[in-house]
Amino acid sequence: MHPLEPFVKLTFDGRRFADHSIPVELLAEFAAFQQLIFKVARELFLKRFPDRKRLPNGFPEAAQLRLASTEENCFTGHLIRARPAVLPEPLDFTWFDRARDVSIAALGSVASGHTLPEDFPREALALLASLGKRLDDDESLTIRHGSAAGKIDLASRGRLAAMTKRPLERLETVEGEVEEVYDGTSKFVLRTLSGERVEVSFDLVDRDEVVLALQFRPIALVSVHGQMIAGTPKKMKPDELELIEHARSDDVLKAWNRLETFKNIEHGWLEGEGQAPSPKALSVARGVLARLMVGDVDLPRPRIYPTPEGDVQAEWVLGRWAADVTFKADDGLIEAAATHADTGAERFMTFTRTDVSPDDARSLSAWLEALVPEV
Amino acid sequence: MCTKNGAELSGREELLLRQVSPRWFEEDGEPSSQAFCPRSNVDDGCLSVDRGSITTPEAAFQLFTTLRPEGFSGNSAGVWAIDVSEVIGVGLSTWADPVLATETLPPNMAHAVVEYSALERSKWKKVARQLKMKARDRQRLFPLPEK
Repeated sequence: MHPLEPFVKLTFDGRRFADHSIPVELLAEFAAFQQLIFKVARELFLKRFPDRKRLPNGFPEAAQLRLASTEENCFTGHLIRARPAVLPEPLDFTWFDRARDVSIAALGSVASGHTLPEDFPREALALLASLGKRLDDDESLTIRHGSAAGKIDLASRGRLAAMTKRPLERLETVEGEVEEVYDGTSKFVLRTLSGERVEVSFDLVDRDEVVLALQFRPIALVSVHGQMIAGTPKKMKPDELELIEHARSDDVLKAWNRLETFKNIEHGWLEGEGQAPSPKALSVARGVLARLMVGDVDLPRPRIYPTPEGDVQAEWVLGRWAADVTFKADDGLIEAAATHADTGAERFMTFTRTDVSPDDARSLSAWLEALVPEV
Repeated sequence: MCTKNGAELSGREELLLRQVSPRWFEEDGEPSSQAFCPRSNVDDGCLSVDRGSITTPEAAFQLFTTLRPEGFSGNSAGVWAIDVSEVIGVGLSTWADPVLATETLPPNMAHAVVEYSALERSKWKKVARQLKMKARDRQRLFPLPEK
């Protein structure tokens, strides 16, 4: 424990802090709290001295806080004052003590569903609402001094967002696929790994990466870090955008390269017989096989062959099952058939474009997985 | 049903050597099940093979791929094998079908056919998948797979 009395204690609660550590990006909450204290103190001071247009010398320095120590629980940080040598009159530290107490009281009121205290300056409301935006939905931050405490969690942040008539904002990092790109508005639609759709703004400097992610979907993902704004749809303004290669990228590229060679197959390829693979079959196979492999990391890469009927056939050996998945030339149907090598047992299923598509191949994946449950 | 020039094979352990089209083989993979299924509009329900008791995988490959008139000018990714008992086990039969020389083609005394006609056409692909697995278990006989 630092010898100086803590100005305030900030306690983070939640899964991420259970090992008594804190992700580095959450340290920004301490900076956000310092910013709040400065703003509140400023407004209280100027209200007290309405003839003053400017803050006294030393005011910003006097607002500075330092992280002094931590407790061994979830994660509690003690902030202490960074004391400047001399404070010019009429400045003294009571302005910042009042700012702290008023802010904690405001947080306490919001947390308990009450209105804000009268003495909390409304000019600082936006900063108050910005606290906690780095927290996950199941986490909280409690700010204490003495017996007074104010808790920030998703519910209280929601109330503050409503009070400020602003959308609830959070700093997040999300990963997903680029589904559509709108150059006119410099936005793209991100489909997250959980299936949510987020509208993301992008800068011109990131456009090439965004377009590449679209072209190589689903093996090229984007990771976006920035302000997530609640709404329908959710929106995001990224601070950082990164292109990430999916773990199955090599396998999918091998399959795509194989399919690409089928474009050179001409009619009569099989001893004078044989239709060239249809563009439709090639296109559907490309999308569905990629989706199958990124969706199921345990599914081996299929071997892919043309058929004399112009279909594309993907084959797997799964345990003692020989499985064929045929992408039909004309009607877009997908026929899945499997035979057990030793017993002759057979399984068969026809999938339509509604059942299986480049966006969703889960039903076909489940059918294949059911052949060998331990695969 | 196809025409055969010989008797039904009875030696259950005899290997039946099958040439696989390059289009039906992917490097570092295995043959397509299509390589073990007759083409319904061409093959009259019979799958061509060579008898392992009369020729070898390499000789069969050379005869198949050598240009005419010394060979059959075929394209092959290699030779895989099933045996007579496996063919019988899936409800099919195997028949000797030696081919005599013509003006433009050499003889092939090892030629035989696997007869699918006794089975409903709708079952052919199922059987082909089983035979593929049997062939896969032996791995390619010629050229030998890289270690």
